[in-house]
Amino acid sequence: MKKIQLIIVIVLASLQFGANAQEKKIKFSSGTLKICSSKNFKIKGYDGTEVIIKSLHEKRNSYRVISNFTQGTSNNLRLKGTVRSTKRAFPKRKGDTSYPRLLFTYSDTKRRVGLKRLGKKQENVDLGIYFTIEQKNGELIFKDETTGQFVMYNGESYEIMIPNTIKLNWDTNGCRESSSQKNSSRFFYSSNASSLSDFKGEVEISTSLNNMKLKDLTGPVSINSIGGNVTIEFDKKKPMKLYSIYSNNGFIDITLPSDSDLLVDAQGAAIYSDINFNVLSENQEVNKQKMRLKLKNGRTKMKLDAGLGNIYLRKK
Amino acid sequence: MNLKEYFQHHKEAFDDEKMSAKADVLFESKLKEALHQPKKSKVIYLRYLSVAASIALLISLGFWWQYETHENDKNELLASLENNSAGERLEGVYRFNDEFSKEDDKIINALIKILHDDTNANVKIATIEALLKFPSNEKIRKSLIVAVEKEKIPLVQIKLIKSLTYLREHRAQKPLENIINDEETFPIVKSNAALAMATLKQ
Repeated sequence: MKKIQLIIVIVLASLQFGANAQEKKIKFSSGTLKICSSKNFKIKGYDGTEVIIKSLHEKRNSYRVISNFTQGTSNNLRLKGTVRSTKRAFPKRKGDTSYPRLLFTYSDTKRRVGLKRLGKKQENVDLGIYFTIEQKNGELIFKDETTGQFVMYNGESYEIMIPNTIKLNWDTNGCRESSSQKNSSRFFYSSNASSLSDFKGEVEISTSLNNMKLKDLTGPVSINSIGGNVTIEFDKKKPMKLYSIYSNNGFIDITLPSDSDLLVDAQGAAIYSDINFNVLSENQEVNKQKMRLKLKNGRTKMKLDAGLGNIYLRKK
Repeated sequence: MNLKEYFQHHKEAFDDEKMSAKADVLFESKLKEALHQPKKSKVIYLRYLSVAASIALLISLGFWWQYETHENDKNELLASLENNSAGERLEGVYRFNDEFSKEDDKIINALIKILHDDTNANVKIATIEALLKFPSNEKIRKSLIVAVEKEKIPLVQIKLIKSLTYLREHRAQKPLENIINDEETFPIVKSNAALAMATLKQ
């Protein structure tokens, strides 16, 4: 039943977008950009002073699909905007206190022709940006609206340009304060890999199942993932600062120049490579391989732990 | 005529013989030589003493330099463990893991603080690996049990559960039970906790 509900949500949500491709620019050249979102982002670093957001998806229409997966009554459902009709897709069964509820809402678009929705938040919606943007204490925060309910954003994709002078902290689980948050066991992810490229600042990425593609990041970089795969490529750059990657069962795939100055501590189910490493130590057990590998003087540390996943180290 | 008879026969001639001036000079030089002998040994003794003192000084300087270097390294490490940048903290933890082999209370305390308070999962996981270098340290063992009780980041929870299983820490059974019974626990964490429980009960 849950699967059917989820499929309906995804199908409806994907039908409800219209074309849009405008930009939002935010002056921000120092501090931390905190992305607390499970949406698909293509982020690029550049030598500038603004964070530039561009939506690559189609703009939503007036339908809204709201799902509440929390336990209890429907009091915690908050419906915003002009709601003409609201239907509960699956009526509550007697005695059932734990089930997903879906509400499909529809706004009358004809009535508002010629008018503009007021409010600061609407500026972003008009640009096709469906996450909140907040700036405080030296941080610029992008956050999904998922308080007690969540709206399926499948198909949303954003291109973001960020200045090389800032720090990026990206959490696809929504930067949840786990201790105070219910449903911490539920993670939402986009099937398409998000990407980050050409960035010179410090990077922290935390994800559950999202796949990540990184290209030409000099570091320091720290990534942790439960089941997401991490693909890293060094094309025009070499690793210059610490790389730390932990995964429980996703793979780690790195393509790097063979003249990199690296000390790699790799641990995973199996380690594969076509690079002529100097093997400093190795230890192999059933489904577990651990190696210390060196290239040149071993100046930059790379700590890789793929858990039950494999590690692939490829020559560029 | 033997030698004795010869001396007796010429005794007077021998008694009249005066000592030559050359003999005096020779005697004086021999006397000087004899008198200076103790002075020379004193000089040699002092030389040995100064050489020994220099060696001792060099050794002390070596130890002092080593101590100073270690203290500087330690302070540098402690500073990096408290840095605002997660990358710097990670550098510090990995450095401790790779280069420090002795237990140091200050560093251990800093690592335990990270274990409980840090917001970055990578820093916490690296810290757990560093603390596992001292499996018999009771403070570390207790801290790991406290950490597994309150940790909410799934990947860190898994690392803690595996570490406590590796340490065969039976006191972790209660917190593991809580993790298993907690509805909010991520499924993969639950399965790791269940496996750990089974291992610890063996």
